[in-house]
Amino acid sequence: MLASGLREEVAPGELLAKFVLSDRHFSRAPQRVKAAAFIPPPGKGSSVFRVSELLAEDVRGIGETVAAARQPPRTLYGHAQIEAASVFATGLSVVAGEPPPRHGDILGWPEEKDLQLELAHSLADATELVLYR
Amino acid sequence: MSATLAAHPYPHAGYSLSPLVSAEGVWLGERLESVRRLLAESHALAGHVRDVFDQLLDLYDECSLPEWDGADAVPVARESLNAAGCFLLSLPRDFPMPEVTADAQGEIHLEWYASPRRILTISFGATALHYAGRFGTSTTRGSEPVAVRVSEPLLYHIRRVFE
Repeated sequence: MLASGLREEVAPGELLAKFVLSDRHFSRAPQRVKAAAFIPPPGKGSSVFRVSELLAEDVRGIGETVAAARQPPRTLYGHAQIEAASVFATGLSVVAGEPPPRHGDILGWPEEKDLQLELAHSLADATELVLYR
Repeated sequence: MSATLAAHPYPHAGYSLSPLVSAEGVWLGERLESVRRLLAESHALAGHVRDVFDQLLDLYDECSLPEWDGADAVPVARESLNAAGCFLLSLPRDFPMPEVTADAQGEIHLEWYASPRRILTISFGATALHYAGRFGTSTTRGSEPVAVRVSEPLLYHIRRVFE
């Protein structure tokens, strides 16, 4: 059991939140998150938070904390919500990565950038974008 | 308006195309200069292309420092900007313009979107471009060197997004 109380293994039915901290990573009309939001930095995973059973305001609270912790602090625009099963369906994995509590990473990204883009399209297509502002 | 564009085509503080470091960069810079002149001469072209080009330069201003996302993002390289800019300005005049963004690897994305199943994203690194597209039930992906012109396959894929 992790410090957050969550199990180490991420279950397919879990909801994941990808916080959107750039206004370039989403579109309002039509409302969608862009593939670029999911592309990880070199050698790292794509950061997400495990938010199953949390209230909307609690999810947003985690996002506000994440945005405030960046240097410099970022604006939190919303989050892209995706079921872990949709990530697994692409062949990528989700691995718990606490601290911070509930943090995880989408891992297993291939080296080839064109394939990364294809996977990011699949992830973006499977998300529901929740905007706060 | 043409005179203004000719004198100050891209009035973003601190941005200059020079010095370009590679031979390819020089070629791209020259190409961009030629398209700048074209922009200055054509109201019709300047409108929607210039809007997107301004977005590109704003993005470079925002994303050209290490950790521009407040975390681990790689800075967008000037060569990537030049490559994306030349690509953009080399598109046929009647083509739809893409949305512009950057990823945490420091690559610039040009994205054409009609629906979740009709989308093409091209990412520009310093030396290569990479793309992936979905067109209904079919998909495509690939990589090319940072090119001196928009390749026919990419033009074809952009058209497919809006078929």
